[in-house]
Amino acid sequence: MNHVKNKLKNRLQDITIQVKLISVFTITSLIILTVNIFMYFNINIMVNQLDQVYISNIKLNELSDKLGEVQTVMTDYLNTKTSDSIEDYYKYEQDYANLVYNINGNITSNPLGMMERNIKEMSQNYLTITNQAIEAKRGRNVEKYKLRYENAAELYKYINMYIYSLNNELFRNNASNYETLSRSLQYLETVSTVIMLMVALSSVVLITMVTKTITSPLKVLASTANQVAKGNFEVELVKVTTKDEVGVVSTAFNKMVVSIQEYIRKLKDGMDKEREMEENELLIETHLKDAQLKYLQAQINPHFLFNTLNAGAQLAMMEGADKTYWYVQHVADFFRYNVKKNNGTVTLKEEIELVDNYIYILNVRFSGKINFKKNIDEKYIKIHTPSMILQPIVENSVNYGISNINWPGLIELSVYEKLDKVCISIKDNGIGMSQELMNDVMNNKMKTADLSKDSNGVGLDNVIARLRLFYEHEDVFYIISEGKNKGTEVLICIPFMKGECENV
Amino acid sequence: MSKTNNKEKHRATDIKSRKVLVTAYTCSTIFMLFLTIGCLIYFNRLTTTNENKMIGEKYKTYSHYYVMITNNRKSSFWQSVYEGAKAEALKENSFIEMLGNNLSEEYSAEELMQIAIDSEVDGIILEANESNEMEVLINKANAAGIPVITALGDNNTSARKSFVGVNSYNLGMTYGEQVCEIENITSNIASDIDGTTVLVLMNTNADDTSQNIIFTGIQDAIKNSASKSSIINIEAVAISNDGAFAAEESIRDIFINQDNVPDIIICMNELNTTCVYQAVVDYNKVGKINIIGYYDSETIRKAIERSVIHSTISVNTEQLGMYCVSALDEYKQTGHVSEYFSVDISLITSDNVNEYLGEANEPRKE
Repeated sequence: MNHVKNKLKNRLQDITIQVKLISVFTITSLIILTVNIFMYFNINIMVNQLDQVYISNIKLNELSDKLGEVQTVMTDYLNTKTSDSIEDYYKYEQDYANLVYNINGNITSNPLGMMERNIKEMSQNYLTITNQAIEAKRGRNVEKYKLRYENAAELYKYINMYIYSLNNELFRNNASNYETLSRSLQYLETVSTVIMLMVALSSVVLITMVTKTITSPLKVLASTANQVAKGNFEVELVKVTTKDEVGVVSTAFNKMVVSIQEYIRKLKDGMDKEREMEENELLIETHLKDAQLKYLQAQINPHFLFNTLNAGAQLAMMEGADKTYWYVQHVADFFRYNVKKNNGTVTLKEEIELVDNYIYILNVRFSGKINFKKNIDEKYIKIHTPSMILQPIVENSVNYGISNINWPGLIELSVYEKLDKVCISIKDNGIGMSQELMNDVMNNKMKTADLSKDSNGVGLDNVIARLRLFYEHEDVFYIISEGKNKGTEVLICIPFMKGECENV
Repeated sequence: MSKTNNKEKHRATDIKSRKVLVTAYTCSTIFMLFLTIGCLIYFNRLTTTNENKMIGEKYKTYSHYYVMITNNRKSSFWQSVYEGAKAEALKENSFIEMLGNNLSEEYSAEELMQIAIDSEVDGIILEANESNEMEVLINKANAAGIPVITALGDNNTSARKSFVGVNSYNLGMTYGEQVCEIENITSNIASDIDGTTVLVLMNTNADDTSQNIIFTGIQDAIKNSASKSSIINIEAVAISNDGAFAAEESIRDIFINQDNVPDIIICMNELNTTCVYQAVVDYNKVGKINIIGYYDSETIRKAIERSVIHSTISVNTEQLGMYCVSALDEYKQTGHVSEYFSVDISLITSDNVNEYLGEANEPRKE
């Protein structure tokens, strides 16, 4: 049962729009056609009935006319005895006899039928009498033909009256029949109008419904297509319920959406792969650079350098060259610090010692040309700072501040407290800095290439960046200069905790 | 979550709408079909009834065709006779027609007789009279092979096959008895010296022997019953029924002549009875003139109930018709038939009129 039902359902879904429309149109048209045919059929029947009704009247009139003619020509013959009239008489007599012969002479309960029967019988008698009259006239039997003529005239009167009466009765009947017919025709009109209206109405409903089944999937399809057009490729697929033209379009649309989705996925995969490859390339480059760096570092082994310098210092001590010994010893210390403390934190004291070492080395190199003054509050020398902070600043002061001046250069290092911060000031009396230059330095716009060859590689920008990162604060580093030849002061203000100083 | 819900919902509504659509489709198709079929049936019925109305039910065919010819075919008396005859004729597969019913012209009995002969009918039931003309016609019919049965009125000398009617002498006796009964009631207070005058209304045709027999019967009855018969005067008046309205005028004439108003009027047919009744009422003679009538039409029965008519003699009309047809049939089958059939008569007075009134109210059974 269910199987059959499903089968039927499938069949229904397989119907194409064309077939649907055609079938709806055909069904409604057929019904309308049937109703129309039926109506016309009925009207035809009624008209036929009407004809039938009047045909009897027509027949009777014919009969009456013929009878009159027979009577006239008989009288004429009896009067004149012309051969024309006898010829006419036989002709009319034959016609009339034929007409009479066709009358139904059965005995029925229909009074009109009985009248017909009587007309028939009387007419036959009448014809017999007229024939006798004619015969008598020919035989010149005056008495007889006179009598027959009288008989015939009487009978003629009766027959005429009968025909007249029958005609009258028929007409009366027909009048009522006509009334019935016209009433039926009116009924027919009303009923046919009602049927037409009903059928038309239901056809409209039917067609509306069928067209709705066609248009509603189209609407769904259109809305989905609009979504796709707006860029939403992850739309729900259109549900295909029928296999008609719309169903075919919907299926094609679904296929399109699916293939678009597939295409997009493939495209994404390709892009991912490409990016991965780029990342790999970058990594390889970094590794290469790292390796190169390691290689370079490995070429200058600091321990080898310290040991070499220590050997030099011992040699100088054994030879009694004390100055050389100290010089080499300071250089060794300077480089060791560089190697050891390159990363990580150190105390302020260690930083200051490095500056001392640097100044000593420079003074040996430049024959004590640099005056270095320290003004340090011992309370704060245990404070932790990033390494390699002060030496680059001092180097900067030596290289740029006081290298090219005509007066004796002085570098002053002070450590003091100010507004709950420890301030480390490196001040020179050199050429000073323009505001522009100061801004450039502060904003890290100096180029690395500008560094002098004598540098140990650490620039001011690096110092500033590390200080800011370390203290997580922007306002740690200041450059103060009052103009050209008026010296420069670099001020580092670092926050500190009370505990740090008390531990000293 | 909500998305899948929506999806299901959408699907559900989709299925639902599909179902609704299919149902609507089927419904409207079925509706149209039913409408068409219903109208087909309705119209078929309508046209069939039309056909029936116009052509009439299928008429039955009969083997014999009889006609009935009377002087006054529209009277309820003869209508009743016709009904009786028709019922009997149908049994024998014959059809009987009251000749002249559908004709546009009024014909006398003689003319109708001529028509019947010319129409070659199978049998004639005729209310005859004793005239020569009628005799000739009856003989002519007989010569043409058409049996003629006379009903109620006879033509004794003719070649009619049988007469069906009332025994005239008995009828006269009944009339006479009624006269005596009236005389007995009124004689006690009778004041007129001349005695009681009885007026018998007869038809103009003096040759009619049956009238004479009736008259004799009346006289005999009066003679036999009462010793005072000497003071009962019986007069016969001929009422013409040849021309139209002649009877009514003749009867009025009797009343106009105020000096000689009878005490009792005996009527011998339905028409005369009705006319006399109306005249008595019009001339304010109710109670003064006693009417002895003939036949029991609705008007006459009402008059008896109101005591305007004293009594009436009712002929069993259906029996009359029946006897006529059976006589014809008998003749057709055997070639001969009894010369005379007597039809029952009954007297209706104010005592038993109620039975007849009740009977009249009921639909007539055939």
